[in-house]
Amino acid sequence: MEEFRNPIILSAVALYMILCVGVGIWALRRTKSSHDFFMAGRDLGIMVTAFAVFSTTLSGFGFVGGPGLVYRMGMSSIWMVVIAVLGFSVTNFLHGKRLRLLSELGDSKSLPDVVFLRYNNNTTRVLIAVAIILGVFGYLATQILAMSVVLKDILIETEVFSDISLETSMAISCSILVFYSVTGGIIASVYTDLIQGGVMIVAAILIFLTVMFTFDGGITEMNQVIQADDPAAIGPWGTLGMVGCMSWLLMFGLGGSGQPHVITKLMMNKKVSDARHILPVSILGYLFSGLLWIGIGLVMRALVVSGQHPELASADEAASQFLQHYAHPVLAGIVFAGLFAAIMSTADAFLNIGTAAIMHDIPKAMGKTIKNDLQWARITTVIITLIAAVFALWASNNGDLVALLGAFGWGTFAAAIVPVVTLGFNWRRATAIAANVSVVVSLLINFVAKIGKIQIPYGIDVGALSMVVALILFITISYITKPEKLDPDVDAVMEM
Amino acid sequence: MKTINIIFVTLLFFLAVIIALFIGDPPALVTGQPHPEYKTMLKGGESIHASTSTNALGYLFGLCSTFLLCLFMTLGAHRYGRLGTIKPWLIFGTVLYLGVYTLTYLSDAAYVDQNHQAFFMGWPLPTAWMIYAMWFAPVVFVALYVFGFRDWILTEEDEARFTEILTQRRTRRAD
Repeated sequence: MEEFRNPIILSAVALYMILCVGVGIWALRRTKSSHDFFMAGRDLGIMVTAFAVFSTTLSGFGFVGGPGLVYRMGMSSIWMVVIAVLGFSVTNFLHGKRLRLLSELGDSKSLPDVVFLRYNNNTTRVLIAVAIILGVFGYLATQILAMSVVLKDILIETEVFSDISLETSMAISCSILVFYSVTGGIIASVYTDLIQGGVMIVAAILIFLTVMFTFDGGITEMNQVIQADDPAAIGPWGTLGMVGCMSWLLMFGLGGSGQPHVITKLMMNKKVSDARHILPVSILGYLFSGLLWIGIGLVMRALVVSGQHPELASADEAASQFLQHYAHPVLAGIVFAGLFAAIMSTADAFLNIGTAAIMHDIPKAMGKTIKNDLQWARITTVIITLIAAVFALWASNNGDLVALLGAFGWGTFAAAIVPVVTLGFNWRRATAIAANVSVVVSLLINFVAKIGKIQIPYGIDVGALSMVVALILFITISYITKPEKLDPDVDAVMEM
Repeated sequence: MKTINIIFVTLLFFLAVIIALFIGDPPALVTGQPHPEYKTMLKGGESIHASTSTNALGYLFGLCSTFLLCLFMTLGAHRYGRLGTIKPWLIFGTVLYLGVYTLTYLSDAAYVDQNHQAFFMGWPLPTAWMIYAMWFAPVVFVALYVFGFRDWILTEEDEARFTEILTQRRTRRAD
């Protein structure tokens, strides 16, 4: 079986890509309007919504970046997994009802649409759309780059594609991404999320079982090996320390409720009462998938420090090295397919919200209505993909701008959106001026800190810090500005 | 006191804790250091427990983070400006979560003091608190949401009222 490892991995990835094309064609038939394209006709069932929520949250980061962080820093990043139960609960308590009801009330196609309904202010709508676009380009470029690099690494092992370039593998990946995003919009995305979620859960459980038997003494021996090298690495805060870890807890727990690619999924379910079933399914899916994150990172650190495996060239190789050397070829194939699934569905989710911001929200704020909006949505999707691909290619040769923007994405969304949406949709006294100031200030803090490469003491996440400052400003300004009269229907829904 | 005001006061206190942390001297290499043998790994630096002031401020930083999460959830649970009968359960869940966080913190202090000896179910004791308790303590909130949805989150009467509002709105728009 070992001699067929690469053909098996390649077949699994090819099978998944064919599946994507199939889902795109199937979703094309169900996408009849821009409402279907952006909001899936607000007709998603419990399982599809729940899987879309957790798999979009996890993305390719859970397969590559997560294990890499554990390998590098020990237990620190596990807080991003441990927070799942509380974080998903926070998101559902705050958005499961009001965001869903308000989006139906306004027949909204995007998050900025609902923001406009709540604040009745076009500046707020545009600022949220701009924050989304800024985050989307960074995230999308990193997803495209990651997808192309992984595809190149797989194809280069074959005779036919042994000299394949990054540009060619990017062209292949983007073609498939564009095909199923353009044809099926968000419907294609959420149904591939369902497949991706299933693959992730199965792969994570099997990987964790493999991890448990890598050392004769199981998890205890693995942890004792890590502890003998560095007790802090296997302590609850890892090497980052307590304050940095707790800032991640806040960032991923509360900041999760400000991720537009995640919370827009809660606007798409058919019945608002489905939220009570979506919550536990999302949590279980994330918990199982988190096993992969934890397991691979820890076992690779233990294998390296015990001298059983050579040091990795980079921390991000933790997953691929484990899969190549310790996992059964079929399992490796499933995980690689899962990795593609994760990257592509997340990229599609970003394409979707980015397209909505450019094609729908900004023109609407300027009083323009676009005719043939479904056709223009598809054209915009292609244009965004092309720009992001060129940007990714350029950045891969010219420094770390994409990585900078990618890391900036989660914090940008959290700091800009949590005050305006998470707090503002649950507090009727919040005003549009407060919303506008908090978005601008949060963007400024994030940009200045990232571009100036400012290190916050104790490893405090800059996104967490800017979110706290933005929240304080938002509440203060709301209190000192004149209360705004809400649309009576919006007021009634916010009361519920 | 209204939940939003408790959130506001907690945020201000949180900012004060952050500023106090910035003003004081952090323990050496508190966010880790390069591993002496493996360049792709980091190794732990001095623990936050090393200094009395950073020890207390670090604990308060974590306490504010966890408390804020619970407070925001409480804000989302309000209906018609009130919490109603879900209130004691939310308080119970919050106290439980903050309690588990405190035990994780105390267990870590003991772990550092006692030369990292105790293990529980495969993990060092404080890590076991994190993995088995902090991960699962918020199940209380999940249970409240899942089983109390129709009593505390969205009653059938509210849903019917929303349908009525929506119908009237659409009729007005059509006119």
